[in-house]
Amino acid sequence: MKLFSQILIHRRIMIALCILCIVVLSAVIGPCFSPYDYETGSVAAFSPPSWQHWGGTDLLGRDVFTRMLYGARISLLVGFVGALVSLLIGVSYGAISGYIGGKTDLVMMRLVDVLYSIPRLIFVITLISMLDWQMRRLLTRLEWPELAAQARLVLLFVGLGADEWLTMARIVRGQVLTLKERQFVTASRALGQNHFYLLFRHILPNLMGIILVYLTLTIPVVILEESLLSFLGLGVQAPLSSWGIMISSGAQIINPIKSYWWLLFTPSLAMAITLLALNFLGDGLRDWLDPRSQSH
Amino acid sequence: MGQRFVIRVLLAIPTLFAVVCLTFFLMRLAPGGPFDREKAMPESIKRQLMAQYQLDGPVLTQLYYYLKDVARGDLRLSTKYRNRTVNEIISQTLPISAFLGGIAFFLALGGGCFLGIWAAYRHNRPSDYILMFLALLGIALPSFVIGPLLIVLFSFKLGWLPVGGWGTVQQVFLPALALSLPYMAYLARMVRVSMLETLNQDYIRTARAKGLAEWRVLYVHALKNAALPVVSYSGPLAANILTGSLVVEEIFKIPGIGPFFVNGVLNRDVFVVGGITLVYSMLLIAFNLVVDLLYGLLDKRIQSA
Repeated sequence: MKLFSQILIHRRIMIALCILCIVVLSAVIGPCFSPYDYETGSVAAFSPPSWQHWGGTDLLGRDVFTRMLYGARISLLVGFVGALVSLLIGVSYGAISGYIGGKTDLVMMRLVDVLYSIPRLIFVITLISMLDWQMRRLLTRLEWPELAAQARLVLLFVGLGADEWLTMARIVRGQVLTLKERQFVTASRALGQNHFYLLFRHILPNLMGIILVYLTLTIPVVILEESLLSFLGLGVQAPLSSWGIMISSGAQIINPIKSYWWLLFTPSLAMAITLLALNFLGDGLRDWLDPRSQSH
Repeated sequence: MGQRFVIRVLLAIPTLFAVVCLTFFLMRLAPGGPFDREKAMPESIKRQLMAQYQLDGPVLTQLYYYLKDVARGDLRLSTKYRNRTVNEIISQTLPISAFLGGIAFFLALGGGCFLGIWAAYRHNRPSDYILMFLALLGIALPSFVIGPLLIVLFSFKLGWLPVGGWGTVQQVFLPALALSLPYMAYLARMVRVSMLETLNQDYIRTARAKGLAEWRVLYVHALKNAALPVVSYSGPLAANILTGSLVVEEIFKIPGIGPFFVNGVLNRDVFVVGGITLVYSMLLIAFNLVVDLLYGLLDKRIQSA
């Protein structure tokens, strides 16, 4: 609770948190208040923003604002869960590497170096697309072909999580290396606690702050990557919607005679606000937890 | 330093080997083959095609022969563009992508450093605030948003620059800008922070006290130390520009290597995806090695360690 009351003091963190709350709330309950459906079109195609359609309508006459709210669900979901997956992999990898130390640590960290130096997103693209084929066939065999889009989503969680864990692993490993030499760990070891207990009950709780910071900073990265993949047609699949898909279809439609700017504007704005708030929150938390690493 | 560098160079070979194997497995272990998507063809013809592309038999045997070919520098034929070899595709498209990526890289680096130094120099004054606000916007707007915006502004409204395509000097501006702006913004923030730190140090005061020109203090004395985080960021920067170019080439209809990769994945074009992934990995590994060396040269502390 002390942590929470201290957070309240910091204006930058507070503002970012408030914005995020609004974004998440509008993504979760916003679509319920919308009179429109995100899938069904209407005759009013390409109408500019008005009181009826806050974000205008797209090619099929669908309300852009409503679609943006639905897209927010997917984009935020991929961001959060993808970051959580990366956290899971990164923390366990880094903690094990740092805790065991010695040659194991050397090899494990060299592997991280190697992974750093190759284009991981290129692999993730191949991985997601190919596993998607496998999933589709499996689902057809199980007679659930309508779950294909959801299966794709799960692949995105795992794929993007597997792409972004390296920084987390490095940071956790560095912290564990110093923490495991501290007296309370030695004391606990002298009491006969096993490695598992030492690592998860004594060492990792001390890292919660820094893990939280990097979780916050990973979410915007994953959201960006998801929208990049969706833009290329390799990410979220119809009938689901995401900001990346909306920006992509908006970007394809612009032409010199008539610029349907609202198709691009609404999802871009939503994405920009979310990314800014998350970056602010992460930076703010980092500065607050570790005054030495000033980012502003 | 020297030993570490040698290890890194030696590690590159098994890494590339793993890259090729992994990509090949991913592409081949998914059910079906590259010829399944086209309109139904007789089983016999399909089998013949698979044999022609050496995609029949056990996967491990296929991989063995593929690795042999790759080791000889033959990346085989595309299964989609039947009469084109992957080597041909890469040699035609890579120069375009590399040129665009290189320009974007140096634009991001140069622009980021310049703007960051300026903001640090004008610390807490309006120009600092304006620059940092713009940098925030740049971070929140990825290339695929900035690209269409630039097209609308410079091509449709002002009519100064062409919408897309490749070949003339004017066609380079917009894609290079779209590709580099987000990273320029990120770098500007980074340089500003490390510059502010550096400018507070004693040796900067000494430099000023002995009457050096301000630009010399900023760009020679301070930048040398403030640039270290920039050098270490240039590795991830290159990787980001590489993936970003997939999108930018799509938006500006540039005949680079990116569209071939994306279509290769969609068409399950095994050898195109394998070849391009290999080339991308080689480029990035080599680049990271250079960055590592450079960092060691700039930071004397690493050399002695």
